[in-house]
Amino acid sequence: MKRILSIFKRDLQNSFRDNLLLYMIIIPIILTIGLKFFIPSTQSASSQFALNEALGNEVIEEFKKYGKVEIYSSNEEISDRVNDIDDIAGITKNEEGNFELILEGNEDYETERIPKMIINDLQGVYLDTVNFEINDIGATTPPIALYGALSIMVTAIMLGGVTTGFNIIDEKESGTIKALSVTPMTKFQFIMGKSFLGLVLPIVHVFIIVWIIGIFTPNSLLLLLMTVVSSLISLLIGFLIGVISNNQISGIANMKGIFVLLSLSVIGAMLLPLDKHIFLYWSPIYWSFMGIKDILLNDVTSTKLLINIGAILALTGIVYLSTKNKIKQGLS
Amino acid sequence: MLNIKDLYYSYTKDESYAVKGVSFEVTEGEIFGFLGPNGAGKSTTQKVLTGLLPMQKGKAFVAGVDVRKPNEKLFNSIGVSFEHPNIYKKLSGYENLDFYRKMFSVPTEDPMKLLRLVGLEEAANKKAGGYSKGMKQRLVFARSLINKPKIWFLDEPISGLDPTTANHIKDVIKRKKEEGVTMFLTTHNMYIADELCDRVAFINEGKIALVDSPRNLKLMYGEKIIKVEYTENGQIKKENFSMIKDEDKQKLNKLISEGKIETLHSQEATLEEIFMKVTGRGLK
Repeated sequence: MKRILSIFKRDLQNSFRDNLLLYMIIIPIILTIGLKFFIPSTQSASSQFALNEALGNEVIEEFKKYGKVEIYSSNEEISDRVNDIDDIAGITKNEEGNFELILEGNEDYETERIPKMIINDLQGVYLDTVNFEINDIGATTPPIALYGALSIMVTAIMLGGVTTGFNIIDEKESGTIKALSVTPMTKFQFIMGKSFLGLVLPIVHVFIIVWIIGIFTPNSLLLLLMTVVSSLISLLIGFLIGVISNNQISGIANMKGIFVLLSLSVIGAMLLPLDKHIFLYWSPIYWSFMGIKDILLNDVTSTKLLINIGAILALTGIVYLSTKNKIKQGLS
Repeated sequence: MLNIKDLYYSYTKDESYAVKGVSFEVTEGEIFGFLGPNGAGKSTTQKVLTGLLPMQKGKAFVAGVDVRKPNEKLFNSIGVSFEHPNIYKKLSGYENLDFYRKMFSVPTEDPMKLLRLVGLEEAANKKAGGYSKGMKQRLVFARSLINKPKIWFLDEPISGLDPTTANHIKDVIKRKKEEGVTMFLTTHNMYIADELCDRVAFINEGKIALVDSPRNLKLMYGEKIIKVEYTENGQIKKENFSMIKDEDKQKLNKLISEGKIETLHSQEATLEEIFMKVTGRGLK
């Protein structure tokens, strides 16, 4: 174990001191921060209200039925919140005891209309001449935030394996594999040590992404499991890139080729209707994408989980069997 | 410590052997030189003995371990100083040694002590990628001592080093010999082989042509002649004197007693000349 951890520590040190690897480590976090701050509409796809606590529990509870509620103690605080980058309607009462809507003025139609309807409903006033209802489809996370986060997560998982691959390239370029080969370190320990970083990085990335975007899932353990299982194919690809590339430039070229192929399945999973997904079943990344999506949407069942994990493991197994000799040879 | 019998190795796994029936023994505390030109089979032999290449044919025991089944005991017993500096460029000299020592399951040397030994203590915390070629070579040399090896494989240990550093490295090698470390030194540098080795083996085209001590070889292949430069009537004269003929011996004694000798050289053969005589080719 001491040797495995030492190899992991060395790879980690090397990754933080190599510009390309450092870039691979921080880019998922930068992309997530970008998604969080530069796409304000990621939060506005669902209704959210900033309420003055003076409105009382009855009103607050009523608003909670229709969306996310934030409570503030003063109108100034509500105004500050409304001025934030996303769309949110502020609701308070004026001195006469009438409801008052606080808006920036540039919100979309629904942000203004829905709180008005709720207020009218509370007052027993029906302005609309037609009946309508708000259907809660159970989606608590805006689609842009969900698919954006999912795409970054899958990228982070893939980059974890690639980081391992580039550390192998570094060992090959410097000839240090030869120096390690005349120590008691076994090939198994070398592979485990190299794999450690490719497993740890995606886990750290995935949970940082979830935290930054604010997608809180009750299935954290399942998310961890799916990340680890998905990292297996990423590691295999990383090892393959590592053994077939003689230097960083050829490593980048090989990574690009493999990434383009795998990205197609992620794009397909987002854009194609479900009945066309059969064309994406060949890609383990597709199953990772779908598996993580189910977990984040809290739409996971034992059957779905088993299918997703089973498909990833089966496809990883096939890739392993067809590349193991090449990898074994490359590490010798 | 090393017992090799009929060792063969083929990179193409056919009858085209890079090493053909090599046999030799190295006793404890001995420095055994493997002398030969590039492509003679020196490195291939060393790679097989250190487990870098698999055993194909023959028998080889290193520190009592069958090289056919290399194990933890073998790797804990050997140290390998590679010719080309294979180090982690993004790690400092200290971090390189500290990482490497964790790969062994025997007590190891203090990395700082080794860096001091090779004169790298001031560069200990500098990234090894910024070292000069000589510094990198010294780091590899220091690394090979980290597990206090009983058998030390040295591949061109002073190649690319300036004379001062080379002398320093040679001193370390001599000190380790005094401590009883057995050494297998591959080189095509006849001077280092002559200076350091107890015995040398000449390898050419995969076969050992000759094994003996440098002294015996020089006596065996050298000429019994002394080349002298002396002054006579204000002029410098050069003459060869036989060490066997009485007439020459008397004349030489006379020159010595008269104090006329400027320079005096015995004409024993160099290892390179002997190699050429034995194999018909040079060491380069």
